[in-house]
Amino acid sequence: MAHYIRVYTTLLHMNFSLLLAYRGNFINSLISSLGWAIFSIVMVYLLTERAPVVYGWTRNDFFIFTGVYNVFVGIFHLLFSRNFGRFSEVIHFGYLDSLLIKPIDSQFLLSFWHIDYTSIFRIILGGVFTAYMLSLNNTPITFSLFILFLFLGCISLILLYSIWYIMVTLMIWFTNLSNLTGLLYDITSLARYPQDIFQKAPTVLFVILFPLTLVITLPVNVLLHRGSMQHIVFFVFISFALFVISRIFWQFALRFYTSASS
Amino acid sequence: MMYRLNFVMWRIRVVVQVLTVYFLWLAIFPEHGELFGYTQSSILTYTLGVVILTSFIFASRSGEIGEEINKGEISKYLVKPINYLLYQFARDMGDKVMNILFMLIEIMLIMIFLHPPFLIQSNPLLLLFTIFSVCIAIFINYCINVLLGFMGFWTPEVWAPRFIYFIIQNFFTGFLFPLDILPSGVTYGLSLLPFPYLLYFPLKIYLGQLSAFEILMGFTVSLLWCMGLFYLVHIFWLKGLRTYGAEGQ
Repeated sequence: MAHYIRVYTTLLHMNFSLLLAYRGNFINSLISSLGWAIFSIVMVYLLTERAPVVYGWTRNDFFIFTGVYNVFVGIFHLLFSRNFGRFSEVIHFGYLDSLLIKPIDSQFLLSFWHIDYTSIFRIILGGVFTAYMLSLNNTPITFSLFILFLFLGCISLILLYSIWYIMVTLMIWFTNLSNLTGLLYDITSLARYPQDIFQKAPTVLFVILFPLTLVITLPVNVLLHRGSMQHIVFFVFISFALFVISRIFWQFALRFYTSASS
Repeated sequence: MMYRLNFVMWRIRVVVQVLTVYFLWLAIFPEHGELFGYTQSSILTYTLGVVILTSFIFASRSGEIGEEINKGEISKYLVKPINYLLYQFARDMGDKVMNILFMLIEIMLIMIFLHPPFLIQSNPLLLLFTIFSVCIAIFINYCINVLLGFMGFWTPEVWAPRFIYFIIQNFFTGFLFPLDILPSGVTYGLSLLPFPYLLYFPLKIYLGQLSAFEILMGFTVSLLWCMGLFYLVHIFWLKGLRTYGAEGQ
């Protein structure tokens, strides 16, 4: 465990140096990151101007939901997005060879090699906005509620990471599936709205998307004192189950990795 | 097999993006009555219209021009007796045909599974205007793509402006929402730019929500942009060729 912490600390320093070296990329990423955050807030403002309650969600609830979504997505982009984005390249050009021969778990290296520091600004913006809206809403937040919210946030992160990792593992067989990460971004964006929005979706579609729709909805429901224990237990179970499946599937897929004469 | 899968993934992406917005509108718009000047059926028609028009307008291979310039690959076209820009346009059209075929399948599946209240425009004049505005939109998008690609003559970093254009496509073309739900001042300001004429303007014509004057003004502005962008393409093509070094060839 200490070994992994040391390696991750080195990766943090390495990525910070890259950030300072490529300032143009930093500016582009920052504009994009903050742009999407601001757009999501403006979108909710416009939509709820004349539709103040949607399936039991008031305008302030929507704002809190959007703030939490931005924090969550910010953390996901900070830790994982760039790594998933380069999966196709790593596998297609055989760079995976150099990771497999290292005395460290390959899934760890692939998942944590790059860190997108610009997402920190999105996290701060989302966090401040959420805190502001909670105070405006007069929502009482106890310490235990906050800890439960953080716990569910971590579970959401594990769920999303596992779904992404299972999908990108398919690139071992289909190395040129560069559009797969784009598709995953679009599917993840379903979590941008409360689960109740998708009530009218066909049952098959709703069942497939159900875990994704809970990613933000469940932690926010807990924050707004509307959490269901049944959903929480199901959510924790499915997250850990998918994480275990992602590990097993990755180890299975590596048997079929054929390199690229690196 | 891999490239076909990649293509299918891209089509699924378009459908997922639109379905997300579709269910959002379904939740927000009342079944009877209006919001932002739209009924539930008109906003859902708009959303599905986005799926249809995206295949016509945004399906394009001209995004690869920047990379071809950076790698020196346009040299093989320059020595041939063909017009490179016309060739790219023809290649774009071929790509659109393939996307349209898949779009028809997607629309059929959406109709079967979701039974959306799709408005059929019966006014032949409005249909004609819609088709004409789509042709203008195809040309404008092609010119913008080509201009972004021409940055490859001067810089290897062609992805950054393309990425910014992708964000503009989502926000200002009417892809995610009709632009008239924004404050009127913002909508007016956007109407002076070329982006609303890519999706928003053709769909508003189709829905019959524009007056004759607004249609005329829209065509005037969009045609002016066509001429301006065509002129810029011509100028930058000539300037770019003077600096072209065919690196990598």
